[in-house]
Amino acid sequence: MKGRTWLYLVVLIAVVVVALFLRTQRMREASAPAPAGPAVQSAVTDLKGREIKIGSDTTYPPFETVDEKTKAIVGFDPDLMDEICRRANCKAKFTTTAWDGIFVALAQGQFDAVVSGVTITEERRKAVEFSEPYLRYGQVVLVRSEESAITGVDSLSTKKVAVQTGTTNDEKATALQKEKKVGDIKRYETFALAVKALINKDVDAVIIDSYAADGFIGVEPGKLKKVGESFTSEALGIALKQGDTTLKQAFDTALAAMKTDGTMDRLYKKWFVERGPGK
Amino acid sequence: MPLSNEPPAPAGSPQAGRGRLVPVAWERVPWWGLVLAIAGLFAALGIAGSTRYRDTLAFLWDGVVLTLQLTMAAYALALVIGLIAALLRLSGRPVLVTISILYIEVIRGVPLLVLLIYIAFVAAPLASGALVGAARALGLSGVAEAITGIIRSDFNRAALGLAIGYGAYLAEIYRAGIEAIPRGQVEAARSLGMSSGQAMRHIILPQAIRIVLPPLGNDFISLLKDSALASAIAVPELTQAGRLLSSRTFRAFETYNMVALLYLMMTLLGSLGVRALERWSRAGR
Repeated sequence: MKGRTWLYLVVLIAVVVVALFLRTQRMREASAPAPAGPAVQSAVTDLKGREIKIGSDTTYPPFETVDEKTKAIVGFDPDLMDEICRRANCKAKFTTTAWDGIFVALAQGQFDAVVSGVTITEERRKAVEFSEPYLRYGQVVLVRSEESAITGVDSLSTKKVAVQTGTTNDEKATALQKEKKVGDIKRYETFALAVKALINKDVDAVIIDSYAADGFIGVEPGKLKKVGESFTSEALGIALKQGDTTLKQAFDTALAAMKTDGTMDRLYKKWFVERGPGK
Repeated sequence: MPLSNEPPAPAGSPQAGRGRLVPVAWERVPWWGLVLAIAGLFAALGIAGSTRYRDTLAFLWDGVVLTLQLTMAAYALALVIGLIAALLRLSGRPVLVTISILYIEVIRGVPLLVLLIYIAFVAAPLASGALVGAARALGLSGVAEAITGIIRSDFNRAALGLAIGYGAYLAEIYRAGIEAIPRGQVEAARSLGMSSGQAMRHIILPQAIRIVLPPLGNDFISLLKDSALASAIAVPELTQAGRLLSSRTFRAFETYNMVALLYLMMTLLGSLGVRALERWSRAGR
């Protein structure tokens, strides 16, 4: 009996010590003077605990949505920014805002960054700075699950298509309409409303980024499906104020580190594979 | 309504002689109008001289047309809905009065934007679903298709939503106008052998309309501004056109300057009309 008690005691002490060790380790990492971290992190700019105000249109699963119960902003983008900030020693503070005017708010300094599934385009580059791409994707056609007439982007010439106003999907749909490949375009304030209109049969299809399509298929199980192949190839980036080299440097180095150490793969898996609709 | 502060015009033609018999009254000069006219002149010159503003105006023009169409359609419908609701409320029959009060209180208690979104994303799809089902059962698919066709259009939904929303306010304006007519006139009309409907049509309404015209005009202007809410339900009116343009070109400054200016021009024209109505309604008494 006596020997057993000893054993328990040792195990207990060992557990406490390990726990304390891990805790201090994590704290050190969090408040991290850069040299203390592993080698790959040493290149990341230290932002010295700065709070980064991030604007985001949080109606876009799985990139960013507001959790029904906790009301916290959750999704791939918040996780991404948390990971970046863990490396660059900053604090990511997400704020919900409307997509309409989001870049103007950024340019005027209301936010330090816009992380909202933002596609990098040449037109936008004129107004804002972009980080290196963090995700590549293509646009797809989303339809109701019982749809049979629409088989891809080439069968939309007489159809009503919904998009969110001012997105790259809107631009693509507008370009397709000029080529007479899209019948009518309905523009909504959010993709959530566009998808609602699709389910309500007010429109025939939604043109949307592939991952967001999966996100909405996950939110409305059994009601939606993607048809055809992706018909664009684009990339998402973090939008920053023009000339904000400090944040660009910090975010780019953190992103590079996350790509090499497997963090990006882990986040990708968490939000697009495990939560993906049966894929 | 600055005009209502003026002393009553002399009998006869109130317009005549103003500024001629009386020495120039500086406080009567519509300074606000002058300021606006000068600002407008500068704006017009700026727009004519800048390709950016000209492009912006060209892009937004369709939106202006649609805003006007939407406002007209919604207002015409609201006038009818409001009159019906007011007459029901004054009918004195408990069931009709209850229906009318219920409508007015519920609609006035819901923000117009919420009402529009509700109609576009909840009520209209439910209604068209129910209609299609009912029509299948009755074999009247043609009728149902026609009705679903009407409520499928975002423009119609927006017009209907704005009309239902404004109908409640207009109903209260009508009621105020009708109740302003002394009770004795109805009694006199009845004693001359008119039915209550005839008394309403020939005695009450002609006088009440005159009283309510200015507030009705004000609500027209207000409706014109509120038509911007339709941009939330995918109607490409002026506000949505502005959003679209600014998101494409990143020129929020020029775009929203132009959008605001266009709305202002429409509402100012409207308020000139309302002033004319006010003058007319006072002149007749």
